[in-house]
Amino acid sequence: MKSVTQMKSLGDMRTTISTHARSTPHEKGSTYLEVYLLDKEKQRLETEMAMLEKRGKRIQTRLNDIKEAMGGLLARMNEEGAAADPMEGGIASGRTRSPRPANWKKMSIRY
Amino acid sequence: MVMEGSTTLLQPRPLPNFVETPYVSSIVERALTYITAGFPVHFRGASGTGKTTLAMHVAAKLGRPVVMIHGDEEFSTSDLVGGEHGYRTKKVIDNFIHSVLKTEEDTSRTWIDNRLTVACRYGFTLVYDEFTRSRPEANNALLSVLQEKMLDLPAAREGENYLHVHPEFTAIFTSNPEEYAGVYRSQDALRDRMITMDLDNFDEETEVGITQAKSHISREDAEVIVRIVRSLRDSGACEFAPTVRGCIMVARSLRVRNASISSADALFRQVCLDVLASESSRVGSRAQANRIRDVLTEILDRNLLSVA
Repeated sequence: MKSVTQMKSLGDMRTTISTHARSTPHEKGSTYLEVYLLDKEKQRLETEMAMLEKRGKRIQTRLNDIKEAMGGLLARMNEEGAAADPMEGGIASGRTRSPRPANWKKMSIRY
Repeated sequence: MVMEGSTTLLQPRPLPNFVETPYVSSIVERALTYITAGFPVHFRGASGTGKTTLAMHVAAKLGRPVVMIHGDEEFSTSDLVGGEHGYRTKKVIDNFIHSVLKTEEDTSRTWIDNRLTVACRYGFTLVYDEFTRSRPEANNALLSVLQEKMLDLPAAREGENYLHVHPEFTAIFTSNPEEYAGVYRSQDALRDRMITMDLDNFDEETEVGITQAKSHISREDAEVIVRIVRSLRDSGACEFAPTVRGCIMVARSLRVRNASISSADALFRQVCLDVLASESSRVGSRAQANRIRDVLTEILDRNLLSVA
């Protein structure tokens, strides 16, 4: 299922601002100014793109680390579960794992 | 939320002076046979016949952690299976952005599994001592546990509604006869699901061994005390026959006072009268007490004469 961040929202709508539409015509003799403004925006977006690429690389590296760690931990949990819980696979298997008997309070009783 | 860790597991171990005579071994072996065959065992007998000790000994031989329940009139199903005890409240205050305060509160009741559920889940040995002191309907949960090997869990408990009983789960029951005060009649359906072993008083050899081991008196003295108690038991004058506990009480009391077992020592006579005469009557009427005192005096005379 898509999360909220993946859904289309108001920010994705085409508006007069996002398309840079103007209600008034360009003034004559302002071409140089237009070029200057576009160049500024180009520089800004290129910088942003470079930052996003670096951020993407860091995110991908961290995702790989998490995937590797989760794989190891899940494999260990499965091994422990199979050894200690003979009820695995039965009706009770869907529950949250309970404390192991080894962790419980014990009391010796003499008779 | 479900909690299970509050149950304490018992590890029964015999005392160094535990007396295991052929009589005791025979009972234990038979009980283990029935358990191996897949049936719960029920030790039924009068007070002082060693039911609880035998149950603990059989449980120790099984080598599994033990969960023990003592029957009580106030017991209900929730005392066996579990119930909702207490609340757990969680409150989250999010003020990450200083101008935005977000609070979230969540309160849930906490379910705590009781001993029967824990024993069924993990295959522990359940020792239900004096189970007929609980009202019969309180033990209803045991019917499906012993027959269908399944425990019904209330809907209030999160998770599954049924629990498969672990294959190594074993139940050992003890009870007094139904004519005892404070004892309910056992459910017929429950009794039908278990093998009941009626226990009588121990044989003489075992009683002498237990008396000697528990009081550290000489074997000769222990034999005399046991002989007196058994004679009083066989006389038929007692409403409740004295048990091996009476032997231990007399023997320990004598050891405290360094008294000797002889016709010349008045303390021994007095201790026997105090312990044995009162133990064998519930009502405590003067006529009954006098009658038992007469019988006991005659038994003491006869036995102390042979000692002298």
